Amino acid sequence: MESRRDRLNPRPNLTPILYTPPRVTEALAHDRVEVEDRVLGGVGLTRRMAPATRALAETLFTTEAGPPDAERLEWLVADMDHLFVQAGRRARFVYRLCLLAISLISPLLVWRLPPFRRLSRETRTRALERMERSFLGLAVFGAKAILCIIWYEHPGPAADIGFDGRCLQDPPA
Amino acid sequence: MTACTHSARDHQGDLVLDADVVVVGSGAGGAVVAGELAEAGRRVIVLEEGPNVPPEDLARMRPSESMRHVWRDGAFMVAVPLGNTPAINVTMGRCVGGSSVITGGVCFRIPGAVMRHWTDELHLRDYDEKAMEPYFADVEKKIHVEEVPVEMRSRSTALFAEGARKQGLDVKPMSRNTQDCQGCGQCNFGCPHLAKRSVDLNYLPEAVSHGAQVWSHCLVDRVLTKGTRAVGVSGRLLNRPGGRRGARLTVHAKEVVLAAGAWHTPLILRASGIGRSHVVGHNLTLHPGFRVLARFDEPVRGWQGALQSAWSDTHEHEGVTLTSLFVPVGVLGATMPGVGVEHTRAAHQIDHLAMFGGIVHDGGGGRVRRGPGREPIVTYRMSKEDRARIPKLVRALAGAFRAAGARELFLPVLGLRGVAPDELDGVPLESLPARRFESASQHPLGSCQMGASSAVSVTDGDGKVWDTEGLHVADGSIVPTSLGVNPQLSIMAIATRVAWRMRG
Repeated sequence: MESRRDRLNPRPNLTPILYTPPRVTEALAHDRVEVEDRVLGGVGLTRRMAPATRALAETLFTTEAGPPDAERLEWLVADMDHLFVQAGRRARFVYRLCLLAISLISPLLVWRLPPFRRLSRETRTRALERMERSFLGLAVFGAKAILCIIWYEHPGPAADIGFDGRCLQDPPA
Repeated sequence: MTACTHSARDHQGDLVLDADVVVVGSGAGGAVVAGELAEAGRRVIVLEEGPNVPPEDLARMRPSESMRHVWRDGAFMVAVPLGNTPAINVTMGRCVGGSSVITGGVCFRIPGAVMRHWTDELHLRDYDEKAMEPYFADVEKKIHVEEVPVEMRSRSTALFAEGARKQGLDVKPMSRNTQDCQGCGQCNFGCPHLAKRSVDLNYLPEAVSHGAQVWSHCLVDRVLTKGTRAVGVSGRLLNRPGGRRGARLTVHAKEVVLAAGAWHTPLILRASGIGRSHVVGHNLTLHPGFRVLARFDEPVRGWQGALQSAWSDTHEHEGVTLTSLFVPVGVLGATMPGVGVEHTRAAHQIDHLAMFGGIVHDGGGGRVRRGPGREPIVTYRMSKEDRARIPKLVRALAGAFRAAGARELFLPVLGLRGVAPDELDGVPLESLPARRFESASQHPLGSCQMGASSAVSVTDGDGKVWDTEGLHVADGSIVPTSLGVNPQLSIMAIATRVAWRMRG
């Protein structure tokens, strides 16, 4: 029997977000510059922030061809985790506020119950679009900004959008 | 440089040091003072809260890696808006070299009109162009200030200049502290060719070569005083997991120079009970910045070229300065409106986007307060006059791109889709609430302003804190008004002046 919660927040369309803890891939480990004098022992994404981040990224970076690869999403979440280990508690706090606002408020804007990550991808898209245009647009902008910065650093998405990484005075290719 | 920098992160137990001069902060102000005083034979210790990131490492980093290692709080800093004010993302460096490591390298002298205001209205008599000439000349030589040649401009800047000329705007070349720039558009995130001459490549190595010690991971809480004389500083080593406060830090010194920046110098003074409460932390200016993106039919690839190369002061009489800039594609992607398919479709046009920005020559309204942790809470209330400048600035930028033949304009308004050029005049920018505007600032100034009397200022014209012997301020916080142009060079010139006066 369909519950009240299911009627308000239909689950058949739900895209499951199967989250596994960040696994730093070989490629990423080689990609990163490790500073000798860096902060040690910091805290990255919490257990709740990681799946929410993944759901948000999947919604943001869906193309006409469909959702992004699971491996790239995993790369993104792992690198976000590393960013907050280094950038510190205040940065994580601000990002967490943005994520919390998105997670709890954006579903309400499309008449669904939170959390955001349990909605279908299409509903998540509508919820984020609505929130981006609302007075809470700044929360979407903040989270989107850091996700985009990292996402387009991956050679795949960077090449997709035409970034060739060349300098003005590079010799011709 | 790296080998001569000490890291307090790995230090066991309390740290007690002794010096002639202790300098708090290693950015554009602190590094200059340290270099000048060490050269004069003083025993100098520089304390930096952030890590030491060698320029060779920075040169290899992705933008987000630079943000996590050398930007304060990963660039997640906001001046809390009060009243009809946009939320302003304020960025600054937190590493050996401070914000000089993450600037675009733009160098301007203090504009003549600003200096006249300082001398005539604020009675800072020694701040005219002639008196400041030797300080500017000295800094310009040491950090290699040069004009950006027109051929180093990106296509993005060239398109703006083309449209601006049609609109009657005068676009001039900028000067930057660079040498052998290859035009990679990455100045804010670490130059891959070490072409940007930030202070970790000149003043700090110079100081170290004269015996100065530079300590990273040192957080200074307060100035130690004996009677009315400063005798050192105290704080904590950031040597616990996650960079949390650990063992005690004490530096005994004959003279103390605070150069922790406009957000943190007032905190140290307030915690030390120094300075009058109605001036310390008040009068913060930010130069709120706004940008406009424009899509062209032709490929623009704005990342190929100098990040910042041209500017226009045609609208200066209206309190607005236009400056070229470009940002890495990820940052650009973040400004593309929409979600999912709409967003990625817009992002695929990034190589066709041009960008130009501008800053508001603001009149103050910021305030630095003590926060619950070690960071301040900064509020900013924009005046009506400054608020009215935002639409003027945005229309000036968008108008120039429209004149250059842009197909679509992306205005700095949260949630607003791209607009067709002929729809620009119909966008109600003037009536939008200020919080709808996206804004960023890299120029916090003025929270410990210098002045002619202790009733209205924190320091005198030489950066000496009123009523406390042996205590100086030498960073952007003493700049008494906003400048209307990038302040790095002016901060360094004022710091040189402070150091030369200390040398006697």
